[in-house]
Amino acid sequence: MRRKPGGLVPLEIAICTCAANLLVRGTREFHGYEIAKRLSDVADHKLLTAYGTLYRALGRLESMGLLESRWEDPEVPARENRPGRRLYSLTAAGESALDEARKAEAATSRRRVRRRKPATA
Amino acid sequence: MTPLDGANAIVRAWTRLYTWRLPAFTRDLRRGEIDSDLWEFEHDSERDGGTVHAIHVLTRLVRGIPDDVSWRAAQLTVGIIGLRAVISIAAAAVAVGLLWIYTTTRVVGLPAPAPLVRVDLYAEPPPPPPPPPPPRRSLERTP
Repeated sequence: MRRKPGGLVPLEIAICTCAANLLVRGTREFHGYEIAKRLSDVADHKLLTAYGTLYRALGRLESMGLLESRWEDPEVPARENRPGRRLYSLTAAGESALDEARKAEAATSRRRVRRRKPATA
Repeated sequence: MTPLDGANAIVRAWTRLYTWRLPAFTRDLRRGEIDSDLWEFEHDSERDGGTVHAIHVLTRLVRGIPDDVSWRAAQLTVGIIGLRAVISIAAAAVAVGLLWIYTTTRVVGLPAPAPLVRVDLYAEPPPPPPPPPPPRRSLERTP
């Protein structure tokens, strides 16, 4: 998938959309597996996003300033006897980038519809 | 050890391989995330560790390999030597795997049979009998 300058690829838009949906429901932070599950639910896929693809995209979004991350308090995983989670959250820049991407997507689909419409004389 | 444990071990081994010789911070970040993901998957809805889930994990691994390699390449601090090492080891692993598949699945060919040779069997006439010995002459004494 070729990236437009300053634009987001579909997976990145999907991640930001899931993060925004979680935020609306009151969940500010999410971890990698959680977002992979949400992505597969949205796309109605049984298969989760590949490890390399998912964590590379999350890293890219973080470096673009659209997501931020932190490791959870080490006491929590120690108490629950599991590995620590890296928790991501959508930033304000992420929210506005998502709005921009949605607008761009809507404009593109409008153009496509107009092109497909048969010319009526 | 369940099939899911085996698949998790393969994912961890691959993660160790492509994060090898990266700066400790970057390396531990990625390894920690993958460890967490594997644990969450295993404990989500009490997965039974069956073959289907193991295949799911391996599929996620294989589909992400190009991104793992690209991500590794983007870590410029390691330099080109580290990347070359990872690619060489990955290529060697794939070659060994293909060789193993070939040797275990190929049909062992039997040696080709010798070409047919026509052998005509017939009885040769017996050799002619030897000529009879010359008659004996009596030695006469001459006066």
